[in-house]
Amino acid sequence: MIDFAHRINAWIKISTPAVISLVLIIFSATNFQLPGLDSFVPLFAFMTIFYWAIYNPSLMPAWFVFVLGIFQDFIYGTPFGVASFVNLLLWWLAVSQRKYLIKERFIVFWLVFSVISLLFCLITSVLFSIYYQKFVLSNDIIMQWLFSAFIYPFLHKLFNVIHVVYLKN
Amino acid sequence: MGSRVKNKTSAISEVVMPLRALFSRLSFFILLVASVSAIFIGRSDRDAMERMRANVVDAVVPLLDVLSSPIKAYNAAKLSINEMVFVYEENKELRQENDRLSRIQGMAEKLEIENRRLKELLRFAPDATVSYVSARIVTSTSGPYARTAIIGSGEKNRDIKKGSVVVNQDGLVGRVAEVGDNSSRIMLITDINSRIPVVTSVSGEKGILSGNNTETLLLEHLPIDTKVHAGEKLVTAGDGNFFPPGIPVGVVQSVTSKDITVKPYVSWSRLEYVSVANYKPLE
Repeated sequence: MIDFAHRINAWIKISTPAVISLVLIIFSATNFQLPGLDSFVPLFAFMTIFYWAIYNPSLMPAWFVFVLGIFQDFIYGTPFGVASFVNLLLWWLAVSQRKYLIKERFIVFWLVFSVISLLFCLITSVLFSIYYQKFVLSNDIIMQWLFSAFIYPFLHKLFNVIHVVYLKN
Repeated sequence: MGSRVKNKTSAISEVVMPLRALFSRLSFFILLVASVSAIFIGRSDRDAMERMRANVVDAVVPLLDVLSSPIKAYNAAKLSINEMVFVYEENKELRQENDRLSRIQGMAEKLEIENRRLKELLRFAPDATVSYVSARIVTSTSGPYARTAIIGSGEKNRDIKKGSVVVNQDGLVGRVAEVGDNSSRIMLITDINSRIPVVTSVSGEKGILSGNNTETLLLEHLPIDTKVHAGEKLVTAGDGNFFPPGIPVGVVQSVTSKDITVKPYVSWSRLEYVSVANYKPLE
């Protein structure tokens, strides 16, 4: 019985980052009805993948990054596969650089996230432009990136609390 | 006995472990290939993908509804307070409006009778039937890459059909792109894939109104010597039998040598209830 409870507890802990990621995607699709802010969906997927791929990649495996992308496409109504492709590239980049980034101060980490997320916003735009065969690059993309870079420290803090207090105990 | 089991286990792990390591190393590339495949499959088998998407959205809609409710409650409260503050002024304006509308109603009734008599005289047959179903917007899932909204009505609960036209009190909102059992996705007119045949109110020119994932639309495929000017109103042309003719769409915002931009009538931030039109052109 104790063993079973331990297993359930371990399973809940392991799946926490994944569940948070899915909840954030659903949350970002919620109707806020704020004039002019409708199209600034924060880049929650980038934030969660970047954080967990660096601090604890075992909790953010590649298969889940793929599933998260497909889920994004389901919810946002965007073409299938594009979000998964971009998410996987971001995950790979973050995992490959984690030994350098994990030691960095928060301000550097934030700066790196901001630069990389801008790069991935542009990659996403290029992929959608190819898909639609039409140039897709509007001010909304830049505003979305700025908004995401601005709110990233809050999310980082939240993930830190979950990681340090909850998962490491 | 014990050593035999141990040997067997180690033999299995000798085979399994390298395979597992190889798989974890290859999984990234396998998933990357799967993503690219999903892009191509999504393009070639749209119906299957749309069905899958509609099923997922059906499952998520109750959750989206719950998450949206505090924001909707806040907006409703804000609106009520505003209404209470301006109730005296509004009442005065509504009385004046009521007098004006009463006069127009009298005229309209007279014209309707006249119209009916003339139709009977000409043995006129209407060219289409339109029936409306009201639906509530659960959420607007608009972003820089797609402009869509989800309504809480689907094929099973409200008999919504794919391709149906969606309007509100301001004008044309979009079309039903995907239908689930209890929810549907609307492709808004501002979506990059949206194309609407329209006609201008003054010059009477026909063109195609295209979305580009921004707040404005582009008026395309007009004659070279077009006489369209800023401030001209646009309504649906009814060409192709997809849209009923005469639905207000927007107003021409600017005309340059490069493009003609149109501002839609619909206010996207106030989009709460819509009507889904089941449009059946008669053969």
